[in-house]
Formats: sequence, C-alpha cells, structure tokens
Amino acid sequence: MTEFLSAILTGTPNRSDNGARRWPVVVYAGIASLVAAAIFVAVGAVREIRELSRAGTSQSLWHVYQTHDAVQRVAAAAPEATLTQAGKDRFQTELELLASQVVAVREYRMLDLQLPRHAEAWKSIEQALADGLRACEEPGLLSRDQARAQAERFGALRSTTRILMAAAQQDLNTQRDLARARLIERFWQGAAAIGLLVVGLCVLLWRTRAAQVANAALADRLSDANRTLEARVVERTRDLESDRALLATILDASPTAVALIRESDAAPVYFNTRMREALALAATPAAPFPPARLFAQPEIADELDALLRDGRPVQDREALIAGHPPFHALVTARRVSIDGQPASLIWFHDHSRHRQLELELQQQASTDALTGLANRRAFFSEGPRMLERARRYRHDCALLMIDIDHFKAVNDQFGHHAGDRVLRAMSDRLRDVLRQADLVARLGGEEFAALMPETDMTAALQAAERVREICAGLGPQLEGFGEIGVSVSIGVAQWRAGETLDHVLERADAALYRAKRAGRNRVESS
Amino acid sequence: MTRVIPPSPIGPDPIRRGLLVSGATGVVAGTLAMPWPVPAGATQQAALSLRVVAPPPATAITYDAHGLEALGVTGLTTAVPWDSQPRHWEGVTLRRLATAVRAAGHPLLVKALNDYAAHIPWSDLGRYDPLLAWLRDGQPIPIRAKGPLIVIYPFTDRPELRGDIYNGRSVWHVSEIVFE
Repeated sequence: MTEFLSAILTGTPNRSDNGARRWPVVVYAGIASLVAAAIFVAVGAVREIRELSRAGTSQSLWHVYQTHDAVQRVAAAAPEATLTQAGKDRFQTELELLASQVVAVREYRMLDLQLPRHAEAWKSIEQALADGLRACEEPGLLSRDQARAQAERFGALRSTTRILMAAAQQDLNTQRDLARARLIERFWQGAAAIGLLVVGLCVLLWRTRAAQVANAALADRLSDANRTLEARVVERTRDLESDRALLATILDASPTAVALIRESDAAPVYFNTRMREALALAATPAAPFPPARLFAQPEIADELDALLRDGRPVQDREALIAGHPPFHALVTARRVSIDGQPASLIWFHDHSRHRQLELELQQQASTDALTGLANRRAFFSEGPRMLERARRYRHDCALLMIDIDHFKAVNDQFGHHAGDRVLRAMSDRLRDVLRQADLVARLGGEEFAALMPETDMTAALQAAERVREICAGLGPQLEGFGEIGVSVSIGVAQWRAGETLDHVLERADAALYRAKRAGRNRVESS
Repeated sequence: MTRVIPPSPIGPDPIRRGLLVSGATGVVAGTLAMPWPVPAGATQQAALSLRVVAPPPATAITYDAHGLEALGVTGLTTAVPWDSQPRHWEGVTLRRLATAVRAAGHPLLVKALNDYAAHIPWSDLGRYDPLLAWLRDGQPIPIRAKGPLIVIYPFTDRPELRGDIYNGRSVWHVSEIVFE
C-alpha cells in the first residue's frame, strides 16, 4: 500500500516482472470513480433543474383556495337566484366559474397527489356543481326552497374545501421537505465529487512537480556530463593536433623525402618538405600523383609497383629520381593502411652526393695525385684486363717504360718543387703524344709506363721516338730551367701472346736499362 | 348582444376515470369534459362585456362584442401552458385597446369575474403584444374554458414566457381592465 501511495505521489510507475511500465490499479480505479461521481452528480443536477423548471408546481394550493372561494361565492349567490333573472344569471355564472376552477385544478398534475386521497370530496363538489347547473336549466327563477338548498349545500362544501386546502398545504410542505432533503443529498454528493476532483488535481500537480524536479536534475546531470565530455574532446583534439604538428615538424625537418600516396586513386596524402623540394613542388599536389612519376626510369617504377602490390617491402633500392635535376637516391617503400585504405609510403634518401664522393674516391685511388695519370695500382689492375682483351681479339700490344734522365740531379739542384713541375710537364707531354686508348701511368718516382693496345713494335718504336723528342725539347720551355737539359730514356717491349704483364715489364725494363747504359736520351727495344 | 355557447360534446365517463386514476388525467383542458350531464341546446348564455377604465380624466367605457371587434381583430396561434395543443386565438391586442382609450404607456390592472386581478406592465405590450382573445379556433370561449375573455401571450414563439410570472398575467374570465 505504501508503495502504491509513493508511486502515485512521486509519479514513479511500478515495474512489473516483464519490465513494462504499468500504473498501479488504484490510479485507474481513482480515475474511474471520479468519472462515475461526476456523471452521477451531473445526472442528479439535471433532474433537479428539470423539477425546478416545471411551471405551476406551487400553484396547487392556490387553485384549491380558488375552488374554496368559488364554492363560497356560489353559496353567497344562491339566495339571489330566487329574486331576479340577473340574480339567477349571476348564480349561474358563479357555477360556471366554479366549473372552470374544477377543470383548472385537474389541469395541474401536482394535484394528482391529493386527488385519490380526497376523491370523495372532489366528487361531492362536482355533484353539487352538476345539480346546481341542472337547477338553473329549468326556466324561471329558482324557488326559495331550491335556493336555500343550494346555499346550504354549497355552504356545507366550504368545510370540505377547507379540508382540501389543508391537505394541499400539507402536500406542499411534504414536497418542500422532500425537495430540501434531495437538495441536501445532491449538495453532499456534489461536495464529495468536488473533493475527489480536488484530491485528484492535487495528486496530478504533485506528480507534475515531481516530474519537473526529476527532469531538472536529469538535465543538470546531462549538461555536466556534456561539459566534461566537451572538455575532454577539446583536450584530446589539442593533443592529437600537437602530435600531428610534431610529427609534421619532424617529417619536414627530415633529410629523407617522404611521400604517402593512396593506391585506389593515386591521391597524394602527404609530401614532406624534402620531397616537395626534390620534385620542385610548392605544396602537396592536389591532383593524382602515381608513384611512377617519382622515378626517371620507367622500369624501376614498374618493379617497385609490382613489389608494392604484392605487399612486399622495398628496402634501399637505388633509383634515379625524376627531380629537377634528376638524382640518384636509395628508395624504401611499403604498403600501409590510411583510414582503412591501402596506400604507398615511399621515402628516399638523396644518394647523389655519396655517389659523387664514391666516384672521386675511386678516381683518387687509381690516379697519381701529382700528375693526374693512372697510378701504379690502377696500372696493375687495368693492365691485365687490356692484355686479356688483346689475347681474346688477337691484337698486338706494346709497352713503353719511360724514365727521366738525371732526375735526382734536378731535385738536388732546384728542389722537389721544381722536380714536381718537371714531372707534371712530362705527364702533359705524354698525354699529348699518346692515344686516348693507351694506358699511361706513373709507376713511381720518375718512372712512367704506357701500355698501348693494337700496337706492333714498329708503331711502338715510332711512338717512343716521338716521346723522346718532345721530352728532349722540354727543358728550354720550362721557365727558370733553361740551362737544365731534361731527357728521357725509353725501353720498348712487344707483348707476346700468353705473356703476363710482369713478364713484359721485365723485358721493357731490361731495354730501358740498356738505353740508360748506352748514354741516355735514347730508345731501346728488347 | 348575446352569444350562444355551443354544448360540450363529451360525456362524463372519461372524466370520472380521470378523477379516480392518479396520474392518468393529464392535461384535459380544452375538451371541456364535465362530470355532470349537460342538456343539449340549452346552457348559460354569456354576454360578452368588457369594462375599460381609462386614466383620468377619462371615464369608464363598456365594450360589447361589436365594440371589441370594431377595434380590429388579430389572430395568434400558440399553445398556452394549461393546454398542450396549439390553438388559434382571435381578439384585440391590448396595445390597440390602450391606444383606443388613449391610455398608451400606462400599466394595466386586469380584473376577472372571480375577482382575480393581475398587473401587466406597459413594457409587456411593446415586447410581446399580448392578445385579449374571445375566439378559440373560431369558437367563442365558455366560462368553463376560462372565457369569455382571456389574455393570451405568444407562449410558443417566446420560450422565455414559460413560468409563473406570465401564467399569472394570462388572466382568465377577464371582465375589466383599468389603465392606471
């Protein structure tokens, strides 16, 4: 019961076992009883109003009184009916008036209540009326006896009509009492119904208020939760944005070029600063940018494409990038997922400077620093390859061993600097005289060698002679060295098929030794 | 001038029954049924006579049937409170009567043969134009049927007339009208 009450007052519905919301039965019962009470009171009120609106309800007493008066008037008029015709007419008129009154009494239904109880009284009145009228119908005046009889009869009826008046008065009183009792009853019923309605209204107001309070509390909680959520979202967004900004900063500062390109439509998702610089782009392009456009060599682009489509990563693949200008780079690529869609993440490192250095190093390793000719190491790595080619194609090949005469004396007299200048001048002359294809190297000190492909002994001797001549004329052309006589001695050896480089060198060296012994500034062959 | 009131056509039996059986009588006015025997062809002869007292300095005038008809006969069909059936009433309007005796604007005191009397304010004459009738459905009205002269208000056309006030002003057996 207390649960019901609290449910009604707080507006909380009972929760049945199956979870559906159901109002307690008392609420339905209350509503039904309110409606029933209202209908009951309304019906009673309508009935009462009808009763009150009936005309003539209070006239019964008046009409009985009128009857009493009319009877009295008939009794008073009766004696005159014996004297004159006018007297008789007046008696007759009074009788008619009484008749009309009797009719009128019966026209009012209120008198029905008392008529049965006093039927004998009314019958005696009507009988007297009928006898009186019959007496008047006879021609001539009424006889004294007749008039006296009429007067006595109607005089006696006065006590009867008095009794009827008292009865009518009592009826009226009874009706009034009944009506009053009914009114009181109706009033209490109406009051009860109004009380019930007021109680119902109070409950409704209470519940409305409770629901309002609950709603307000709920709204407060909701708005609090919203604020917290919003703050968290803002914070997280800020964190995310700062993360993104940090990432972008790192990527843009990176010396590695990075490009992220969606696979489905080749849309460029992200190009970092280095990538944009390499491709001479102002910003990440808006138009589709297939990864193949990154590469200057189509075959590498195809290869990378195939690897990526297979889901295989590409690691440090060397490629020529289609930059401005194109450059070599080490490319690394892999397939990633961006927003649930496959994309190619490609980054490359500019390799061109490294490659340049490498080339330079290689050159330095094989070049004589002072003269720019091949050094001894290069001569001994390239020389055998040249002999191999000669063997394969059955070509001739010759070797010149060139040595500057009295170079020690030059160094001693003019210093190492002057010696270096002589060596460089010598090298220039050798490059001028000998062919591009000839392998010319400084083997050490003042000793040079020239391996000449497709050259027989005759041609080799001619070349050696030209070298000796040019170098003999070298002295006067060197500023400050005018008085020095610079010359070279040359040993020539014809390569024989199957002979090693060392072997040929030995023979050329032997020829050079002979030239030195024979007085220098000359050419000897083995 | 005298008029013959026709005999009532109905005998005593229905009325006796009506008297004895409660609730069965209903409204019987108009049938003029009487419990006593009424001989055919002979009954009270009621002379139509109306005494009108105009306001001073005028004197009283007595109208007979001719005099009243000379004022102009007006018809009105209505059901009066004591009779459920609508009937056609003929007579002179009280307003015309007042005009005839130069009493327009004066309230009326209407007196009856049985010394009943009722006041009628002049405003009723302007608003409802009640009739002083002596013919009902073309027939003279016997005293027994509240005649010979009756004040008739237009009850059917004006529902607000239902009630004791205008019942009381519908004077029966009118014999005299005094303009005050």
